[in-house]
Amino acid sequence: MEIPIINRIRRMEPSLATLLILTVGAIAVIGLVAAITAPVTDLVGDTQWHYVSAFHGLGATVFLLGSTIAVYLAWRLYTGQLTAFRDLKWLTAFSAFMSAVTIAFGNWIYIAYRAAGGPRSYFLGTLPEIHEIFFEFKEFIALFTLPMMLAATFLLWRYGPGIVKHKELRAAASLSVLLGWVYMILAYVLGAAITKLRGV
Amino acid sequence: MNTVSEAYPEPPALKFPTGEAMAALLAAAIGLLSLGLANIYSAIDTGFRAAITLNSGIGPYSGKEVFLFAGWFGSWVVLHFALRRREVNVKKWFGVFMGLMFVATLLVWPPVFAVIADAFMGG
Repeated sequence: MEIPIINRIRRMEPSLATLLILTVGAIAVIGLVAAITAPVTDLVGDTQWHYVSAFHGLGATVFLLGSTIAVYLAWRLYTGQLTAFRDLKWLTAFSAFMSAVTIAFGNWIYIAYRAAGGPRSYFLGTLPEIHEIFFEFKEFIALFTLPMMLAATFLLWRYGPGIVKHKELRAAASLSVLLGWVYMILAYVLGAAITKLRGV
Repeated sequence: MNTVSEAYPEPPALKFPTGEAMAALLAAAIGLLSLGLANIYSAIDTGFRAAITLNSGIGPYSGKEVFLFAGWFGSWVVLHFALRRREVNVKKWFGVFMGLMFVATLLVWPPVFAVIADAFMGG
């Protein structure tokens, strides 16, 4: 199986590939040193829910990053100007995977949200609209991301590069990625806002 | 600016009929409509709400997810085998898909589903 980023590095001029690997390596080393020496756990919190919450948020952020690049490539596909079809294929599949991971952690953290004394009872007692409108919508709309991203992944992998010649089918694939991204942004923004008001 | 023709001088023709693509998209929309309908029905019928509470931690949300995945994958299998050898009007069926997605989104927007549930309960 060919992984686009590794193939591209292999095809690069040796000096450019070395520069890239050195830069990424230096950032990784600095990141590792910082992670080992900094009191990272203080940022996460001290209960089991804080870790689940952190993974839910991190998953959503990685999903946001991957799908944002995917949606740009999907736009290029839509306009018939895509040159990196394999990148789009992989990023859409990655987005579908991250959607599933984020939903799984979301289900887990939802237990803490609904628990007695948790954010839900706090919102129902103080700001009921936050739970009854924004959170209720967020919990459902987050689920919309997975079918959209997986359907787009299916289209891109099943039909392959031939899809770029089919105007309507490439529009269907690219608009599905866009739709998945819009649902993801809605869930992400609402999740961040609700967490800011009352975390688990 | 690079174009498709530069990137893929001769992209291969479609390997499969367009029916497969539409099956995948329509199944996704059907799954999400199932979620929306299960959500509304759980607001109307407390017995149904209790029945779909498969996990006490996340409550009826657990059963609503089951409706989503069952509706999605179940309809995908059926539609895939029904449409896999057919060339369909992609423009028309993608329009249907977008319409279904619009309805599915409205069904999970609380001000809308609350009104529908109230109407069924005679409120």
